[in-house]
Amino acid sequence: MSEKGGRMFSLPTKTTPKSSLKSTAGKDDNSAKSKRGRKVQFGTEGSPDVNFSSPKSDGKFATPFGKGGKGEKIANGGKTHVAKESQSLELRVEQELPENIKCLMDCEAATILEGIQDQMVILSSDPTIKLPESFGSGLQYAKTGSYYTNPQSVRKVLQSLTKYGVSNSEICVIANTCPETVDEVFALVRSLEAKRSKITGPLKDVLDELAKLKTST
Amino acid sequence: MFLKVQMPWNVIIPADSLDAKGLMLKKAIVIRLMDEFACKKATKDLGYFMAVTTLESIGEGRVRQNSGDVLFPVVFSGITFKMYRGEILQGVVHKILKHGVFLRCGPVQNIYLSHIKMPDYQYVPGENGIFMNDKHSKIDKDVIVRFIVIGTKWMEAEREFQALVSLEGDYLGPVS
Repeated sequence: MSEKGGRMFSLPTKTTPKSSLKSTAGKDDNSAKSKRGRKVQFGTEGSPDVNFSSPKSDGKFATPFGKGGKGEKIANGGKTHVAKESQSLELRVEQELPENIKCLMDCEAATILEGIQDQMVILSSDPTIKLPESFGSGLQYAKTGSYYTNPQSVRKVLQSLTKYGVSNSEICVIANTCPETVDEVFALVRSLEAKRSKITGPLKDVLDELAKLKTST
Repeated sequence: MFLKVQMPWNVIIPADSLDAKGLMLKKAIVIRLMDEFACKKATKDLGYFMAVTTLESIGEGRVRQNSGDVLFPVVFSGITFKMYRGEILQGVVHKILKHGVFLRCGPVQNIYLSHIKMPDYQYVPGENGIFMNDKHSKIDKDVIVRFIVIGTKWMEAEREFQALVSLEGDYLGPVS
Protein backbone atom coordinates (compact mmCIF):
# COMPACT_ATOMS: atom_id res chain seq x y z
CA MET A 1 0.00 0.00 0.00
CA SER A 2 2.72 2.38 0.77
CA GLU A 3 4.74 3.94 -1.91
CA LYS A 4 8.31 2.84 -1.74
CA GLY A 5 10.69 5.61 -2.36
CA GLY A 6 7.84 7.30 -4.06
CA ARG A 7 8.71 10.21 -6.20
CA MET A 8 5.23 11.07 -7.25
CA PHE A 9 1.78 11.41 -5.91
CA SER A 10 -0.03 8.13 -5.65
CA LEU A 11 -3.45 8.69 -7.01
CA PRO A 12 -6.52 6.52 -7.06
CA THR A 13 -8.11 5.47 -10.32
CA LYS A 14 -10.39 7.88 -12.07
CA THR A 15 -13.54 6.38 -10.67
CA THR A 16 -14.47 9.32 -8.56
CA PRO A 17 -16.63 11.81 -10.36
CA LYS A 18 -14.98 15.00 -11.35
CA SER A 19 -15.66 17.66 -8.84
CA SER A 20 -14.15 20.96 -8.04
CA LEU A 21 -12.06 21.48 -4.99
CA LYS A 22 -14.72 23.60 -3.32
CA SER A 23 -17.62 21.25 -3.64
CA THR A 24 -15.98 18.22 -2.16
CA ALA A 25 -14.08 19.93 0.58
CA GLY A 26 -17.20 20.57 2.57
CA LYS A 27 -18.57 17.08 2.33
CA ASP A 28 -15.34 15.28 2.49
CA ASP A 29 -13.94 15.66 5.90
CA ASN A 30 -11.43 12.93 5.86
CA SER A 31 -7.93 13.77 5.02
CA ALA A 32 -8.44 13.49 1.32
CA LYS A 33 -8.10 16.49 -0.83
CA SER A 34 -9.76 16.59 -4.20
CA LYS A 35 -8.24 17.99 -7.22
CA ARG A 36 -10.04 17.27 -10.43
CA GLY A 37 -11.83 14.38 -8.87
CA ARG A 38 -8.72 12.63 -7.72
CA LYS A 39 -8.14 12.16 -4.05
CA VAL A 40 -4.83 12.45 -2.35
CA GLN A 41 -4.56 10.76 1.00
CA PHE A 42 -2.46 12.62 3.49
CA GLY A 43 -1.19 9.59 5.30
CA THR A 44 -4.24 8.81 7.36
CA GLU A 45 -2.84 5.51 8.36
CA GLY A 46 -0.19 6.95 10.51
CA SER A 47 2.41 8.11 8.12
CA PRO A 48 2.82 11.79 8.75
CA ASP A 49 4.68 12.46 5.59
CA VAL A 50 3.55 13.42 2.19
CA ASN A 51 5.44 13.67 -0.99
CA PHE A 52 3.88 16.30 -3.16
CA SER A 53 6.22 16.21 -6.03
CA SER A 54 9.41 14.79 -7.25
CA PRO A 55 12.33 16.86 -6.09
CA LYS A 56 13.67 16.56 -9.59
CA SER A 57 10.59 18.02 -11.10
CA ASP A 58 9.78 21.66 -10.99
CA GLY A 59 7.44 21.01 -8.15
CA LYS A 60 4.23 21.75 -9.96
CA PHE A 61 1.25 19.51 -9.61
CA ALA A 62 1.07 19.38 -13.35
CA THR A 63 3.94 16.96 -13.48
CA PRO A 64 2.39 14.03 -11.64
CA PHE A 65 -1.15 14.77 -12.69
CA GLY A 66 -0.37 15.29 -16.28
CA LYS A 67 1.55 12.11 -16.87
CA GLY A 68 -1.17 9.89 -15.52
CA GLY A 69 0.44 6.58 -15.84
CA LYS A 70 3.37 6.22 -13.61
CA GLY A 71 2.10 3.93 -10.94
CA GLU A 72 -0.56 6.23 -9.69
CA LYS A 73 -3.35 3.74 -9.80
CA ILE A 74 -3.41 2.94 -6.12
CA ALA A 75 -6.90 3.19 -4.85
CA ASN A 76 -7.75 4.84 -1.61
CA GLY A 77 -4.72 4.10 0.34
CA GLY A 78 -1.75 5.75 -1.16
CA LYS A 79 0.75 6.46 1.52
CA THR A 80 3.67 8.46 0.36
CA HIS A 81 6.96 9.42 1.82
CA VAL A 82 8.16 12.90 2.41
CA ALA A 83 10.73 14.25 0.06
CA LYS A 84 12.98 16.81 1.62
CA GLU A 85 11.14 19.41 -0.35
CA SER A 86 11.77 22.20 2.07
CA GLN A 87 15.33 22.15 0.86
CA SER A 88 14.29 22.35 -2.73
CA LEU A 89 11.64 25.05 -2.25
CA GLU A 90 13.82 27.61 -3.84
CA LEU A 91 12.69 30.35 -6.07
CA ARG A 92 13.46 29.38 -9.61
CA VAL A 93 11.28 31.92 -11.32
CA GLU A 94 14.01 33.30 -13.54
CA GLN A 95 14.53 29.97 -15.20
CA GLU A 96 10.88 29.71 -16.07
CA LEU A 97 10.31 33.21 -17.34
CA PRO A 98 10.58 33.98 -21.01
CA GLU A 99 12.29 37.19 -22.02
CA ASN A 100 9.23 39.30 -22.53
CA ILE A 101 8.20 38.94 -18.90
CA LYS A 102 9.53 40.89 -15.95
CA CYS A 103 8.78 40.47 -12.24
CA LEU A 104 7.23 43.41 -10.46
CA MET A 105 7.29 44.26 -6.80
CA ASP A 106 3.91 44.55 -5.10
CA CYS A 107 4.43 48.26 -4.51
CA GLU A 108 5.21 48.85 -8.19
CA ALA A 109 2.13 46.88 -9.24
CA ALA A 110 0.00 48.76 -6.73
CA THR A 111 1.09 52.10 -8.20
CA ILE A 112 0.28 51.00 -11.74
CA LEU A 113 -3.05 49.40 -10.88
CA GLU A 114 -4.15 52.38 -8.78
CA GLY A 115 -3.37 54.64 -11.69
CA ILE A 116 -5.54 52.51 -13.95
CA GLN A 117 -8.32 52.53 -11.38
CA ASP A 118 -8.22 56.33 -11.25
CA GLN A 119 -8.51 56.46 -15.02
CA MET A 120 -11.39 54.02 -14.97
CA VAL A 121 -13.42 56.51 -12.98
CA ILE A 122 -13.27 58.78 -16.01
CA LEU A 123 -13.61 56.01 -18.57
CA SER A 124 -16.48 54.21 -16.88
CA SER A 125 -18.93 56.52 -18.59
CA ASP A 126 -18.26 54.42 -21.68
CA PRO A 127 -19.94 51.06 -21.14
CA THR A 128 -17.83 49.26 -23.71
CA ILE A 129 -14.71 49.60 -21.59
CA LYS A 130 -14.32 46.97 -18.95
CA LEU A 131 -11.65 45.61 -16.66
CA PRO A 132 -10.69 41.99 -16.06
CA GLU A 133 -12.50 40.36 -13.16
CA SER A 134 -9.25 39.74 -11.31
CA PHE A 135 -8.41 43.45 -11.31
CA GLY A 136 -10.16 44.23 -8.02
CA SER A 137 -8.69 41.36 -6.03
CA GLY A 138 -5.26 41.92 -7.57
CA LEU A 139 -5.30 45.62 -6.72
CA GLN A 140 -6.39 44.92 -3.15
CA TYR A 141 -3.62 42.38 -2.71
CA ALA A 142 -1.01 44.72 -4.15
CA LYS A 143 -2.07 47.53 -1.83
CA THR A 144 -2.06 45.41 1.32
CA GLY A 145 1.25 43.86 0.36
CA SER A 146 3.07 47.07 -0.35
CA TYR A 147 4.85 48.65 2.58
CA TYR A 148 6.76 51.32 0.73
CA THR A 149 5.68 54.75 -0.41
CA ASN A 150 8.14 55.13 -3.24
CA PRO A 151 8.62 52.07 -5.47
CA GLN A 152 11.30 53.73 -7.56
CA SER A 153 13.54 54.32 -4.54
CA VAL A 154 12.98 50.77 -3.36
CA ARG A 155 13.91 49.45 -6.78
CA LYS A 156 17.03 51.62 -6.83
CA VAL A 157 18.15 50.41 -3.41
CA LEU A 158 17.59 46.76 -4.26
CA GLN A 159 19.22 47.03 -7.69
CA SER A 160 22.57 47.26 -5.91
CA LEU A 161 22.20 43.58 -5.06
CA THR A 162 22.16 42.51 -8.70
CA LYS A 163 25.91 42.79 -8.97
CA TYR A 164 26.16 40.00 -6.40
CA GLY A 165 24.10 37.71 -8.58
CA VAL A 166 20.73 38.29 -6.94
CA SER A 167 18.01 37.83 -9.54
CA ASN A 168 15.11 40.17 -10.22
CA SER A 169 12.58 37.71 -8.82
CA GLU A 170 14.57 37.38 -5.58
CA ILE A 171 14.67 41.16 -5.31
CA CYS A 172 10.89 41.26 -5.73
CA VAL A 173 10.37 38.66 -2.99
CA ILE A 174 12.62 40.66 -0.66
CA ALA A 175 10.62 43.81 -1.34
CA ASN A 176 7.29 42.02 -0.96
CA THR A 177 8.14 40.38 2.36
CA CYS A 178 9.61 43.57 3.86
CA PRO A 179 12.15 41.78 6.05
CA GLU A 180 13.63 43.38 9.12
CA THR A 181 16.76 41.30 9.54
CA VAL A 182 19.25 39.58 7.30
CA ASP A 183 18.31 36.24 8.87
CA GLU A 184 14.73 36.77 7.79
CA VAL A 185 15.85 37.32 4.21
CA PHE A 186 17.85 34.09 4.11
CA ALA A 187 15.03 32.16 5.80
CA LEU A 188 12.44 33.37 3.29
CA VAL A 189 14.45 33.55 0.09
CA ARG A 190 16.13 30.19 0.31
CA SER A 191 17.80 30.47 -3.04
CA LEU A 192 20.06 33.19 -1.61
CA GLU A 193 21.58 30.82 0.93
CA ALA A 194 24.28 29.82 -1.50
CA LYS A 195 25.50 33.39 -1.67
CA ARG A 196 25.23 34.04 2.04
CA SER A 197 28.82 34.99 2.70
CA LYS A 198 28.96 37.32 -0.28
CA ILE A 199 25.82 39.32 0.28
CA THR A 200 25.30 39.46 4.05
CA GLY A 201 27.09 42.80 4.31
CA PRO A 202 25.45 44.56 1.35
CA LEU A 203 22.10 43.09 2.38
CA LYS A 204 22.36 44.67 5.83
CA ASP A 205 22.93 48.07 4.22
CA VAL A 206 20.03 47.54 1.84
CA LEU A 207 17.68 46.62 4.69
CA ASP A 208 18.71 49.73 6.62
CA GLU A 209 17.92 51.85 3.56
CA LEU A 210 14.60 50.11 3.02
CA ALA A 211 13.62 50.66 6.65
CA LYS A 212 13.80 54.40 5.99
CA LEU A 213 11.50 54.03 2.99
CA LYS A 214 8.77 52.14 4.79
CA THR A 215 5.36 53.70 5.19
CA SER A 216 4.55 54.47 8.77
CA THR A 217 1.28 52.67 9.30
CA MET B 1 4.01 37.73 -7.81
CA PHE B 2 3.00 40.38 -10.26
CA LEU B 3 4.46 40.18 -13.73
CA LYS B 4 4.82 42.77 -16.43
CA VAL B 5 4.30 41.00 -19.72
CA GLN B 6 4.72 42.14 -23.26
CA MET B 7 2.78 40.04 -25.68
CA PRO B 8 1.39 39.91 -29.18
CA TRP B 9 -2.33 39.76 -29.76
CA ASN B 10 -4.58 39.66 -32.81
CA VAL B 11 -7.40 42.16 -32.61
CA ILE B 12 -10.24 41.61 -35.04
CA ILE B 13 -12.27 44.64 -35.92
CA PRO B 14 -15.64 43.89 -37.45
CA ALA B 15 -16.32 45.56 -40.74
CA ASP B 16 -19.03 47.82 -39.40
CA SER B 17 -16.54 49.59 -37.12
CA LEU B 18 -14.40 50.52 -40.08
CA ASP B 19 -16.51 53.23 -41.56
CA ALA B 20 -15.51 56.74 -42.58
CA LYS B 21 -14.56 57.65 -39.01
CA GLY B 22 -11.00 56.59 -39.67
CA LEU B 23 -9.64 58.39 -36.61
CA MET B 24 -11.63 56.16 -34.34
CA LEU B 25 -9.80 53.08 -35.51
CA LYS B 26 -7.18 53.15 -32.77
CA LYS B 27 -9.87 53.60 -30.15
CA ALA B 28 -11.76 50.63 -31.59
CA ILE B 29 -8.61 48.50 -31.46
CA VAL B 30 -7.86 49.48 -27.86
CA ILE B 31 -11.40 48.82 -26.72
CA ARG B 32 -11.54 45.44 -28.44
CA LEU B 33 -8.18 44.52 -26.97
CA MET B 34 -9.27 45.45 -23.46
CA ASP B 35 -12.50 43.59 -23.94
CA GLU B 36 -10.81 40.40 -25.07
CA PHE B 37 -8.18 40.76 -22.37
CA ALA B 38 -10.89 41.13 -19.73
CA CYS B 39 -12.76 38.06 -20.98
CA LYS B 40 -9.69 35.88 -20.87
CA LYS B 41 -9.45 35.45 -17.14
CA ALA B 42 -6.08 33.71 -16.96
CA THR B 43 -3.59 31.59 -18.85
CA LYS B 44 -1.29 28.84 -17.67
CA ASP B 45 1.89 30.66 -18.65
CA LEU B 46 1.09 34.18 -17.59
CA GLY B 47 -1.32 33.76 -14.69
CA TYR B 48 -4.32 35.94 -13.94
CA PHE B 49 -4.78 38.95 -16.22
CA MET B 50 -4.94 42.20 -14.30
CA ALA B 51 -4.79 45.10 -16.73
CA VAL B 52 -3.48 46.39 -20.01
CA THR B 53 -0.90 49.12 -19.45
CA THR B 54 0.35 50.25 -22.85
CA LEU B 55 -0.20 49.53 -26.50
CA GLU B 56 3.30 49.23 -27.92
CA SER B 57 2.54 48.86 -31.59
CA ILE B 58 -0.21 48.17 -34.07
CA GLY B 59 0.73 46.21 -37.15
CA GLU B 60 -0.68 46.33 -40.62
CA GLY B 61 -4.27 45.23 -40.86
CA ARG B 62 -5.15 42.18 -42.90
CA VAL B 63 -8.60 41.80 -44.36
CA ARG B 64 -10.10 38.41 -43.66
CA GLN B 65 -11.49 36.80 -46.73
CA ASN B 66 -14.87 35.55 -45.68
CA SER B 67 -16.15 38.04 -43.18
CA GLY B 68 -14.65 41.33 -44.27
CA ASP B 69 -13.30 41.90 -40.76
CA VAL B 70 -9.81 43.28 -40.42
CA LEU B 71 -7.21 41.59 -38.28
CA PHE B 72 -4.61 43.83 -36.62
CA PRO B 73 -1.60 42.22 -35.00
CA VAL B 74 -0.75 44.31 -31.96
CA VAL B 75 1.89 44.19 -29.25
CA PHE B 76 0.93 45.42 -25.82
CA SER B 77 2.12 45.40 -22.23
CA GLY B 78 0.03 44.27 -19.31
CA ILE B 79 0.15 43.21 -15.69
CA THR B 80 -0.60 39.66 -14.61
CA PHE B 81 -0.40 37.74 -11.34
CA LYS B 82 1.09 34.29 -10.99
CA MET B 83 2.21 32.17 -8.05
CA TYR B 84 5.53 30.38 -8.23
CA ARG B 85 6.98 27.53 -6.22
CA GLY B 86 9.25 28.82 -3.51
CA GLU B 87 7.58 32.20 -3.39
CA ILE B 88 6.55 33.85 -0.12
CA LEU B 89 3.05 35.28 -0.15
CA GLN B 90 0.29 36.29 2.25
CA GLY B 91 -3.22 34.95 2.11
CA VAL B 92 -6.46 35.28 4.03
CA VAL B 93 -8.08 32.20 5.57
CA HIS B 94 -11.61 31.66 4.32
CA LYS B 95 -12.38 28.07 5.25
CA ILE B 96 -11.15 25.81 8.06
CA LEU B 97 -11.38 22.03 8.01
CA LYS B 98 -10.05 19.38 10.33
CA HIS B 99 -7.09 18.62 8.13
CA GLY B 100 -6.21 21.99 6.77
CA VAL B 101 -7.31 25.44 5.79
CA PHE B 102 -8.18 27.17 2.56
CA LEU B 103 -6.82 30.59 1.81
CA ARG B 104 -7.19 33.16 -0.89
CA CYS B 105 -4.41 35.40 -2.12
CA GLY B 106 -5.19 38.08 -4.66
CA PRO B 107 -7.13 36.52 -7.52
CA VAL B 108 -6.23 32.95 -6.46
CA GLN B 109 -9.17 31.55 -4.51
CA ASN B 110 -8.15 27.96 -3.92
CA ILE B 111 -5.02 27.73 -1.84
CA TYR B 112 -4.72 24.75 0.47
CA LEU B 113 -2.59 24.58 3.58
CA SER B 114 -2.56 21.10 5.05
CA HIS B 115 -2.27 20.48 8.79
CA ILE B 116 0.85 18.46 8.01
CA LYS B 117 2.43 21.61 6.69
CA MET B 118 1.52 23.62 9.79
CA PRO B 119 4.19 22.54 12.25
CA ASP B 120 3.07 22.76 15.90
CA TYR B 121 -0.47 23.81 15.04
CA GLN B 122 -3.30 21.58 16.23
CA TYR B 123 -6.91 21.59 15.22
CA VAL B 124 -9.14 22.85 18.01
CA PRO B 125 -12.64 21.61 17.32
CA GLY B 126 -15.62 23.68 18.16
CA GLU B 127 -18.53 25.42 16.55
CA ASN B 128 -15.98 27.20 14.43
CA GLY B 129 -12.86 25.10 14.43
CA ILE B 130 -9.50 26.79 14.46
CA PHE B 131 -5.85 25.83 14.45
CA MET B 132 -3.74 26.85 17.38
CA ASN B 133 -0.20 26.23 18.55
CA ASP B 134 1.43 26.07 22.01
CA LYS B 135 2.03 29.77 22.03
CA HIS B 136 -1.68 30.39 21.46
CA SER B 137 -1.11 31.72 17.98
CA LYS B 138 -4.39 31.13 16.17
CA ILE B 139 -5.22 30.43 12.56
CA ASP B 140 -8.84 31.42 12.30
CA LYS B 141 -11.10 32.77 9.56
CA ASP B 142 -9.98 36.09 8.10
CA VAL B 143 -6.51 35.71 9.62
CA ILE B 144 -3.67 36.75 7.33
CA VAL B 145 -1.07 34.03 7.00
CA ARG B 146 2.35 34.24 5.40
CA PHE B 147 3.28 31.02 3.59
CA ILE B 148 5.65 29.50 1.10
CA VAL B 149 4.29 28.03 -2.12
CA ILE B 150 4.99 24.33 -2.59
CA GLY B 151 3.31 23.96 -5.93
CA THR B 152 0.64 25.28 -8.25
CA LYS B 153 -1.78 23.64 -10.63
CA TRP B 154 -3.51 25.06 -13.63
CA MET B 155 -7.13 23.98 -14.02
CA GLU B 156 -7.94 24.28 -17.69
CA ALA B 157 -11.69 23.86 -17.38
CA GLU B 158 -12.17 26.52 -14.74
CA ARG B 159 -9.31 28.63 -16.10
CA GLU B 160 -7.83 29.15 -12.70
CA PHE B 161 -4.93 28.10 -10.53
CA GLN B 162 -4.91 26.09 -7.36
CA ALA B 163 -1.98 26.10 -5.01
CA LEU B 164 -0.50 24.07 -2.20
CA VAL B 165 1.38 25.98 0.46
CA SER B 166 3.30 25.38 3.65
CA LEU B 167 4.26 27.07 6.89
CA GLU B 168 7.41 25.03 7.34
CA GLY B 169 10.14 27.51 7.86
CA ASP B 170 11.06 30.49 9.93
CA TYR B 171 9.07 33.69 9.74
CA LEU B 172 6.03 31.91 8.31
CA GLY B 173 2.59 31.78 9.90
CA PRO B 174 -0.09 34.23 10.98
CA VAL B 175 0.88 37.88 10.74
CA SER B 176 -0.54 40.57 12.91
